[in-house]
This record gives sequence, C-alpha cells and structure tokens, in this order.
Amino acid sequence: MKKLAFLAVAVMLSATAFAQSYATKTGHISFFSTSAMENIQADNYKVKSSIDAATGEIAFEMLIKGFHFEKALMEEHFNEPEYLDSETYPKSSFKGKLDPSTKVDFTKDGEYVARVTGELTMHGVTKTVQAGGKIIIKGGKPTIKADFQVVLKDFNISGKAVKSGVVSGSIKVTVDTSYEKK
Amino acid sequence: MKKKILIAALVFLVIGGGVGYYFFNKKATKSVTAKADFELTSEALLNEYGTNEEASNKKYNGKILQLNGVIASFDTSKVEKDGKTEERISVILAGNDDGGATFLFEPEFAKDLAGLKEGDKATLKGICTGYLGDVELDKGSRVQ
Repeated sequence: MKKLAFLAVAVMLSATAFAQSYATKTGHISFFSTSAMENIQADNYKVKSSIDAATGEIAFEMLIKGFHFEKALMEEHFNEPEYLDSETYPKSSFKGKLDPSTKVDFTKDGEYVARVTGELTMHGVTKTVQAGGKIIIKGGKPTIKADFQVVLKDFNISGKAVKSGVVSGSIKVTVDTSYEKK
Repeated sequence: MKKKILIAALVFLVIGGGVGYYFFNKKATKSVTAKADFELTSEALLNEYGTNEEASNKKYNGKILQLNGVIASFDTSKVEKDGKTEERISVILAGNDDGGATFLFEPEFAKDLAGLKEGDKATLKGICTGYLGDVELDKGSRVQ
C-alpha cells in the first residue's frame, strides 16, 4: 500500500515537472494586405506571449502602436481614429487553446502540426478565430509559426479606404514567435 | 495673360505633386533623433504608470521620451526575413517591482549600445507605444 502511494506521488511530481510554462516579451507578429497602389506590411517585434504546456493555453498581447511600417504616412493612417484608432484601443490580444487534435511533446525536439482556437480582441471587438501552423521544439524551447486571416469588417474597421475597396478587406496575420522557459 | 495663368497653374501642380509624392513615400524613422517631449527617470515613469495607467497612457502614448536609468537586462529577438536573420535588441531600464522601460533598437542601431552592460546607467530615447506591464518604447536611440 505504501509503495503504491509513493509511486502515485512520484508520478504526479514527474507530471508537474514536465508542465513547463514558456514566455516571451519579444514575439514577432506581422500582417500583410494589398491595396490598389501598393502592398501593406507591418511588423511588431515586442509581442508578449506565453504557453502553458500542461493545459495547451496560449496567450498573446501587443500594442497597436508597436506595428511598424516602411512608410511614415501608412503608419500614421493605421493609428488614426478611422482605422485602428490606437488612442482608444491601444492593445490587441489573443487568448486560446491548442485544439485537442494537436499533439505536442514539449520535451522532444521536432516539428508539430498545430491548430489553436481562441478569442482575438482588436479595435474593441472580440471574435473567435482559428489559426493553423506548427510548433517547433528546438533545444527544449518552442517556436510558434502560424497564420490566419482577419476580416477587417468583423472588427468594425471600415475606414474610407477599406469601405471603397482600395485597401483589401482581409489581411493575413503571421505569427513567428520564439519562447524561453519561464 | 492666359498663357501666364496656365504656366502658374502648371507650376503649382508640379510643386503640389512633388510635395504629395514626398509625403506619400516618406520612410518612417527607425531611430528617434528629434527632441524629446518628456525627460525623466525610468523609475519615475514606471511609478506614474503604476499610480494611474489611463492618465499615463493619455500623457505619454505616441510621444518621444528620454529616460535615464539603470540597465536591468537585455533581450534579443532573432527574426528570419527574406532569407536573412535580423537581430533586434531590447534594453530594459529598471523601473519598479512591477516592470521597467523597454527600448527596442532596430538592427542598424544596435552598434549604439556597444559597451553597455547590465547595471550601467544609460540615457535612452524612444517613442512610447504603450504599457504592457513594462512601458514600451520603439525606434530607440542612445543619448548617453
């Protein structure tokens, strides 16, 4: 009886030892869209994110003003009240969980196909989104590479250029974020 | 007379077009050089955010801040772009127990941080993009 209890405790302890958390404050998220005149591309290199390996929960938090464009005017428009209105809505966030079908062994180096479902909050609107990609484990540290489409109208982003179709109504968001053990 | 008006109109069009073209294509700054809107210590700034985040956001978002403080740590992010690896350094100036002030330096300005290490005092400038537990500043430049 004592042996069983000892074994049970040992198993529980080893399970929690593997329930690692990972985090970063320098995650990379970019988006790409097209317009009648040129491509629209911006990068954010200070995305805050965390992964709970035990529960599969993944969270992202970033500042809208942290998205940087090549051209000054484009960055200005992006932050204006007509578009992302970053003065009113300074942050965007995502809280989700790896789909049950996704099997990742965070302790074993390799590439794992992954799908995550969660709530994306942007411009004061929260919507459920699904993203597909992969989780790469290298040296015991994970990197998430994933992308998904965001329909601007769904988040009440409908400035003149979007309404008239000059700017594409759908943007591709790409996540390329590496984590450290917490 | 008509010819003169026509020439004047054409000149205005060309100048206007030129100015428009300039602003349309003007590249965004990668490192702030303009005079700071606010100068203070990283400690004072973090305490202000800790007291009233909303008021601090209204006051500092989008503004150029020059902060002096002690370097708490460095963070490096490597990003693959068009087959090349870009490295960006974030310098965190100590604030309070809750967080610090993080300055993001673009790859071409990383050399400005040469010689700096944890524990050193530094004066850095950047554009405040908001608060995520740390005060975030981008387009970093080194003053001292």
